[in-house]
Amino acid sequence: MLGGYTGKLLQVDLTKNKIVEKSLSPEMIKAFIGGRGFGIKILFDEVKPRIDPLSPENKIIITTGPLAGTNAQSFARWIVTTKSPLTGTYFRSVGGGWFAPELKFAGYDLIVVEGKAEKPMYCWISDGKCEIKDASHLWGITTEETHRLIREETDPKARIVCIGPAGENLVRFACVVSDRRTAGRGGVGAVMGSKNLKAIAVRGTQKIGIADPDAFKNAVKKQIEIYKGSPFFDAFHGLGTNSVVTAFHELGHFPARNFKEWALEGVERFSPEELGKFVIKHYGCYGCIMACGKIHKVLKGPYSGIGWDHPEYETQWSFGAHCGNTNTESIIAANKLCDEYGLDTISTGYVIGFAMELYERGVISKYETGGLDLKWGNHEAMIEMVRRIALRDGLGNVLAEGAKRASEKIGRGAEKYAMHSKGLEMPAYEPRAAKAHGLSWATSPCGANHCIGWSKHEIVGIPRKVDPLTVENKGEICRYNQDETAVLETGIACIFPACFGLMTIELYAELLSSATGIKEFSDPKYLWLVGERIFNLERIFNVREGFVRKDDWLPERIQKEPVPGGPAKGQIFELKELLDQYYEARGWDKETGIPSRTKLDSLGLKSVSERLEEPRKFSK
Amino acid sequence: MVQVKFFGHFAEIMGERILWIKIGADNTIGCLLTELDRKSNGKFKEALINSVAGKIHPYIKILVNGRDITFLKNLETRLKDNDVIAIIPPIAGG
Repeated sequence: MLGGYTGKLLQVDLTKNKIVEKSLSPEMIKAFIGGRGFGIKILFDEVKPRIDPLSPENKIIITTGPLAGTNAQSFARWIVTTKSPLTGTYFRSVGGGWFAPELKFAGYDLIVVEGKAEKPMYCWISDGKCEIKDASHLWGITTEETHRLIREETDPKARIVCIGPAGENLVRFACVVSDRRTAGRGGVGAVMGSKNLKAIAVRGTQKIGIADPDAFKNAVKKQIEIYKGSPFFDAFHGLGTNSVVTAFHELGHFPARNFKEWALEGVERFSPEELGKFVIKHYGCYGCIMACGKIHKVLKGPYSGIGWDHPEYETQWSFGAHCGNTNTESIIAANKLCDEYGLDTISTGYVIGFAMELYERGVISKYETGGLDLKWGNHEAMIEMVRRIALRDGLGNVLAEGAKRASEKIGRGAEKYAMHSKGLEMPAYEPRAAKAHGLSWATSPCGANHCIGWSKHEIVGIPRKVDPLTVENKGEICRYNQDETAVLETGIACIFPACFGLMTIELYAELLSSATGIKEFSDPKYLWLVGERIFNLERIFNVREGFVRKDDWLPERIQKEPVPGGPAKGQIFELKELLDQYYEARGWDKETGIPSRTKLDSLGLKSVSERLEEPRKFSK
Repeated sequence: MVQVKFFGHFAEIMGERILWIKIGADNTIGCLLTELDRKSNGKFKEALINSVAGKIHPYIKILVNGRDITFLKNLETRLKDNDVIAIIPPIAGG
């Protein structure tokens, strides 16, 4: 057997209550490597177009990478791939922690879940033995309690992915949680809920084989030296993503009050010195010396007594600047609630801030908010609204549909205040202040996703500094970051090291080829081709669903309203020009945004291009 | 006067997170950095400059009103009253 892989997958049919073990195909390994690559390949082949994402016809594919469970640093991620109930597109949602290595130790590279169980169930996988167990007693309880009870019933060292009440209630941005780490975005938790699947628990003791142990050991040693020699390592280890909040605000990337304002008064409360006061413990995912995880505690005010995983940068934004809120204790509380209910913190904070703008403008009334005074900065109302969204109560039931659908249901001009792309609510960062970054949101296969092609050139100046406000060459920069991310997510690498130049395709090639023994993987050019293949197949999945150029879109507020102040003062987002550049860089048709047959054939996707006879017939 | 904001260990070196500095007739960023070095008895330059290359560490950002000086006129960037300068060490996250 090749190193790195277990060579096996599990096919779980919840309708038939059956689990089947299958072998990984060598062709799929060579062409797609693992992780994100396996996810799109299987989703594309096995899920028909135009199905309802919350129907039994959808599938959930949970993948690991060939380096999970090895000594390679920062490769313990797991990916949930499915058709999203929020966007209707292909979606990949990435989580961290310890689940991926444990699944490998239990003997499997990935799990495919299909159908729908008659009643709530969970899967228990232990060193090659698999069962589907009753989860009726777990239905309705928080993710934290679910973890505790499943461990009591199976194994105290089991690693678990599960949903909370939000996923059970089919909140369109419900997430999947594993030990307080989450596959956050896109409503992947709702897809699990629609299948009556409460959790998957795994425990394993098997070893991961390594093809060339000496070469692999040297590559890992090199990786650790790179980490420890970098100034970014200390910065990230110290405070994790919280280290950047005020600095990003200075760069114009902490937009306030629904992207209407650039500056947040009271932003000093988010300084590293202030946020550092909450930290009581550091921890890391499996096999990662960065240890960017933090536990926070709150000792004063109405949220006193909370000890929980810290809110990441995005959560500081979504419940902070976006809601006009500087009560950082309340953000810790909101983060805890989201984790327990199983909600994406970005989308949840986003829809609450969106509702605040509607309330402040008189588009919705206090009667419609169920008596909540949804003014900017009202953190008590914000916290209550998290609960109402998870439980689909009153206005919470409307917001649980996501900002796009909620704005359409509310009407009265609400649509123009919904900041999303393809239905995924916009995250922190100001696209008008980093054009390649905004372009990545507009062209991402998952909607406005900041991780799909994080614009490191513009934001941190790696591998070289690029002026974030200009338009020139941004199509190519966007393509580069998107394809690089796709390559690294075959591993499945955490993207943070790559964002700061600590993980490159060359280093990944060394780690991957020495672990697996697959000669082709030692060539960075080969890996770049796989990344481009993955990204194009994701695009074709969406084309098949009817997504074309007009869906590569950012809201009017971003395209037409100049930023009122700060480093990006006066900037708008030149969508047309940037898209034209991007499609050229990609080799896609400029009118439709559909990959050309030549491009697909060059990527080894001839079987797909042959079916793409009339690109225009895929247009909505 | 210009406002200078210090992030990360630069705040520890200068002893403050924010300083107001009077700017003279030769009001460039280069002169401001020299003044900050003087105020810190040499510690500021030690943290700012890569001693091997003899240049500012590439990952340190010096912003004027949010704009990296790389995209302005580097050390020759001229300052005016009420400008906000930010000195940011390598930051990681987001």
